[in-house]
Amino acid sequence: MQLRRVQDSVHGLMEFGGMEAAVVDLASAAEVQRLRRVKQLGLNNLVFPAAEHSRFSHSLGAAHLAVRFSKQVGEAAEQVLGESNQVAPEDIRAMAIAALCHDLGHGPLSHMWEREVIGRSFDRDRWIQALGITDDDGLDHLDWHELATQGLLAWPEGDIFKRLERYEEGLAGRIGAILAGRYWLPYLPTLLRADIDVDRCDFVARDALHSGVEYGHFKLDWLISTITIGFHQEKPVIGFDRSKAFRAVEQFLIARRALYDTVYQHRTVRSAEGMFGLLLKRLRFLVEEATPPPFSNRAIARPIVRLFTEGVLGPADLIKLDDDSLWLMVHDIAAQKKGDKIVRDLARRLLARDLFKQVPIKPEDVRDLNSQDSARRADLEATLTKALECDNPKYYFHIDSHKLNLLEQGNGDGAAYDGCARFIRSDAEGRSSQLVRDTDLHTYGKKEEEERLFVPADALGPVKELFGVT
Amino acid sequence: MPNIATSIPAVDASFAQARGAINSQLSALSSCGEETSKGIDHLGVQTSAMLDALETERLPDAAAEIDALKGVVETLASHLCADWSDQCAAQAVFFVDGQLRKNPSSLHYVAENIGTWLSCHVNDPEKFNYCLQVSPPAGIAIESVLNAGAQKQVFIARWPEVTPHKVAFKRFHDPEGTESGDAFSHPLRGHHPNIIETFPLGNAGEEVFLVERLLSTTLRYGWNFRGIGEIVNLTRDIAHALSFVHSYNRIHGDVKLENIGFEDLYILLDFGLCRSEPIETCAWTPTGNVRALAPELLKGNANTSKSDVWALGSVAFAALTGRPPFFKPDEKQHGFVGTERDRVLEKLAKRAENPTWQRDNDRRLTAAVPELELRQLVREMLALEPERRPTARKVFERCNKCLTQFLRPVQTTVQAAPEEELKSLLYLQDSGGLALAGENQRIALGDAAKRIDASQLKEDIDRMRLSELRALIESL
Repeated sequence: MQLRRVQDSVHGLMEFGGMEAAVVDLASAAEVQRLRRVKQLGLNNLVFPAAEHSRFSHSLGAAHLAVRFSKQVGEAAEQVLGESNQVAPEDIRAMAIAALCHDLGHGPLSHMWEREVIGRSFDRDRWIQALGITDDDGLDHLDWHELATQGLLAWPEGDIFKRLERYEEGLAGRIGAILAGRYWLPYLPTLLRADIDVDRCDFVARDALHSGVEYGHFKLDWLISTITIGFHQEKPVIGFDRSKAFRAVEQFLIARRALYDTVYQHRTVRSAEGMFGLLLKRLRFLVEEATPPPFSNRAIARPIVRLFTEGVLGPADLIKLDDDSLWLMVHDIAAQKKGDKIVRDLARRLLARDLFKQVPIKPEDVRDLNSQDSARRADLEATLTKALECDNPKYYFHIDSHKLNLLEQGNGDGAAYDGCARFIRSDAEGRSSQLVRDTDLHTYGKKEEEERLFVPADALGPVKELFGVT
Repeated sequence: MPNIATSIPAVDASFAQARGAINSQLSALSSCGEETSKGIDHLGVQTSAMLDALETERLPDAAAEIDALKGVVETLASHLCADWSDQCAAQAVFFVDGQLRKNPSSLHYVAENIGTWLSCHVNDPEKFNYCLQVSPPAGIAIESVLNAGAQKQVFIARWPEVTPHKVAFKRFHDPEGTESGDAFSHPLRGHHPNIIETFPLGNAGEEVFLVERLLSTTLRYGWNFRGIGEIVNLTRDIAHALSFVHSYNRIHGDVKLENIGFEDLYILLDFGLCRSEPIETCAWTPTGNVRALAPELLKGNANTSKSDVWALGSVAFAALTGRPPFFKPDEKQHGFVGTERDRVLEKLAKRAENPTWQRDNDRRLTAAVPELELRQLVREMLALEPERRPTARKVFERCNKCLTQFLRPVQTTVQAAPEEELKSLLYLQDSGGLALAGENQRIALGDAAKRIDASQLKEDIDRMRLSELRALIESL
């Protein structure tokens, strides 16, 4: 039997044998190839120069882990479940394909796009309609990029849809269902939707390696070997064997927590993302005002202009969007001699890495600025107007807020306890393993929130003065 | 109706009783209608004659014989009066009468099974008669007719000493005509996962039968594979079977969808035309399959193992592109007999030699199959010159090597207690998993539900839920 091999920076040699070879086969679909042009860490390379890896490499890595996790679950199933609940090679293949496709819907620069362009309160029903999703059962809990993934998997003209349907009629729908947490083996999709899952295991290891920080290490092999099947309200669920996995799970949570502090929420990265958001906000304003935006290459900006005029995009436009096209647009805007000053200025600053700086004030002072009619906000805008000699200061400051909870996802199958890792403990005889409420790691399950204010470097002095900090 | 009780004086009480019981059942039968009443007269004479014989001979097992005879008449009466029309019932009675006259020794076997036959084939006296007429080897009980063709009849039967599952029982009208010697004694039966398990058996009357495992699914003409994954699996599995057949220097000779079954794997069936290689003449069945005839056979040349490869290639080709090679869209493809068949063969032979048609095949394949490996494989299997086609072994290896993403490995199954197994299935039902299962998974789950032995379940509620579950899976 021929193996399909891929060399990977994180997992070494990834071998896809048997039915799993489908992963390598399907990776050449246009929608998956697009992920080569979407960076896993968006703008993080402005701070960590080697963090240039793409979502494509992450997706392949996730598919590789999906195979390893599913096989381990399959072995556990042989011990405790009946013939009809066993994991077959087709199921492993389906899980691997689902992992390969799990990030298809990510927009350019990944999280920047979702946070700054789409926004948290996007119009779900309109997007579902625009993406052509017909079976919208149980999609309420999905983020925008997950919804977009569903849309791409359900798009009859799409390359990935056609390929999957050729494999097996209805396969595209089944892959979509897995990513929404539903499968004929109901316990299996948890592998893709939990606090410690295939996706997170790959990105923690990958992002740590490529950003070069030393914090992201955890014992992946051991973690995989401790995954098992237990029961929760008499139904099979997936979790980690409490007696073997405790420290490995803790180590994983520490690794992930450290990555959030040092990489994902790095202030400079957040500043750059905020500036990109302001640039696109200004662009949206120009489109809405019917002022011709300063482009020479209209084709490259067409999907974005359409998004601003219509509010939503269909799958055909979605797959045209990637980091490259966005940066090309920024270059184009920065090179213009005429047109809106603000958008040109922001583009120029981004290209020159002339990024906004954080104002060292307390989070509660930042929270104060959120309200449009707060006096503090008016003061800030006046200071910026003066310092930058601009007439529209709202495009020159960014309030970044982020939340973090490392143990919240567990509800993929409605089984996990809030704020607890998914541990399974056997009884004294080593039989009838149960999912347990284990609060030993609950510090990782606490919700954390932080807010930060960023302004241009040339206005930092006067703003600091305004807030009375030095 | 002749009065049996008065025609022969009753010496023994049990004989008198039997005559009384049979008489009353026969009169009950006459309530079916006029036609049936006429038939009963004959049956009455026959039963009476049989009783007479028993009474005269005074054999030690006479009591059992009487019971059997009584049983036959009683079962006839209860089934025919309840469910059958007068005309059909009359024919059924006629057939029973005929069978008892022709072969009185089959009485016990008939008595045991007549109830099943009558309930399986209500108002279908012809099929009932097929069941009645077979005298299977000891240990096998015919349940019903699966199909009765020009050359053979196939029955569903039980063989409890050998397997708890049902089996297909084949009876050939003309064993000589099918060169039974070769077909029945081929050394291939039951030794390969992709070949149907077959057992040749004989009865006292020196008839020869074939008993086969009865598969849950047999493919049909125009089968919808729902994606190329299954087509590749079929090609691999059947090529595996053929490579085994060919390694014994034999040719299957009739590879087509109707001769392929599915149960976890695709399984090659029907070795009725299986011969030693090479065959110089074409001994095709009168209704034979023209869709899978290799060009060399159309020209009347020898049938070799490569003709089987072509046939498999044409099955894959038709499944991938919608119709077999050398056929126009919407052209009739099967069911030809006599001179019409000769004309079709002539037409196909001409097309096979025409480069336009060869290009047409190529074009259709290119349009329908973007996967390079699969396209090349099918194209090579359909090479016009037999020597350019790959061997079945090569096809099997090529699938395994280059198309693994589609191939289901052979599974070992896990056996669990019936209660555990039922629990697993109910879990899938309760959590909505059943509704999300793919086509093949549904078949597999249906099989799993069928495998659970209801009599092994302890609780009534479990038995009830099992039957509900089976109905649900059936309805999906």
